[in-house]
Amino acid sequence: MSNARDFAARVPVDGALSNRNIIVNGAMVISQRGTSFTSVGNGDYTLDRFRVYSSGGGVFNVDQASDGPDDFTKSLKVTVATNDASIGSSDYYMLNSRLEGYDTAKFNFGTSAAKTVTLSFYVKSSLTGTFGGSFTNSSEANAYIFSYTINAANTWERKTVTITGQTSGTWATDNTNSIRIYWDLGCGSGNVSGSTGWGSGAYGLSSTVQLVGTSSATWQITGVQLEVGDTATPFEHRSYGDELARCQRYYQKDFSIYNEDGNNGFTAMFPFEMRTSPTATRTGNGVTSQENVPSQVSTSSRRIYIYNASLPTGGTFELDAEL
Amino acid sequence: MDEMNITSAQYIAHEGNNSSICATIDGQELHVPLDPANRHYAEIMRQVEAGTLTIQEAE
Repeated sequence: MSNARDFAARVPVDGALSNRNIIVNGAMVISQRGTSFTSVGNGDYTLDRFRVYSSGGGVFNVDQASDGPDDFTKSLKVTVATNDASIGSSDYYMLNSRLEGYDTAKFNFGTSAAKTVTLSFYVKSSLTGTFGGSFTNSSEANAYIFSYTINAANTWERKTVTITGQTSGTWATDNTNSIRIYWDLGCGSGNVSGSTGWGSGAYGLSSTVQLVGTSSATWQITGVQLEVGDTATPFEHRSYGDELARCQRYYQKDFSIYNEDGNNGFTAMFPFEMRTSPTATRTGNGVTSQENVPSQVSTSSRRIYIYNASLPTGGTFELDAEL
Repeated sequence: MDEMNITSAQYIAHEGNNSSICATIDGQELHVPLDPANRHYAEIMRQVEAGTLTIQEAE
């Protein structure tokens, strides 16, 4: 390839030159909840912004693996801990990421000005063949079914899916969920479609590889990017701090608050605004071991408030404003 | 698909007004804001509307 042609292939022809990638934590570098997740429950978040669904008898382990293609140091690794040899028609096994309406509003989905977008990712698996996935709105009434082929076992390959803009349906443009991306790891016949393209109510394509059916099978992903246009540009790496801040709009761990004296409640501000008022889970004391557990805890997107008539009070909290 | 195992839920009041819900979800005690955009609150209200969950009044 000539230098000019090489340059042209790397320049976006539509959309922004920077902040192209809508996916948060696409390089899998942030994992606030831990780096190893054993027997992941249905709907549990693992690495930041990525959750696993599993409804049948199969069980996954998930790790933040220190393994990736060139330019990547981390990936999300799914390992089949318990296989499901007889997947029921209504069963589902998937990896999922949910996107916020504020970030995808520029796609103009649900209007006549809907733009074509391109999803790209690096994938590696112990299994080869055609895999499926889907790209849906929050009601899942609009679902773009896609497939990709893994050609060689245990080898990183980059895959690209171009999605024509959807002019119908309801796609959020606010702080609620607009788009869901699913990678099918073994959905039953009732949850897959017979063809690719726009449809509804499906998470993958029929007759594709069902990872969960094979004991100890592995599947890894990193470099996930979603951008405007019909071309997958090179992955847009962001700084670690930038990516962490983006993740903490949805989840923060170890947020400590402590009230030693005074008769009223106590408020602490978050470093920046979360997506919405987070659920607060007290995971331990804040500063001292003598703290009374707060009798009241409430949040807004900017702050947490605690109260207990018996001081001192406080705690360390997980804050969950996930989609 | 987002169904959670909610075993208890009770309003928490501040100065006479409900300010949050203390709920046990998947075995953990969570402080859930009264915010429709919060996924736990949305699921609590879905289960209330389905008749499978009752939120206890504040003490």
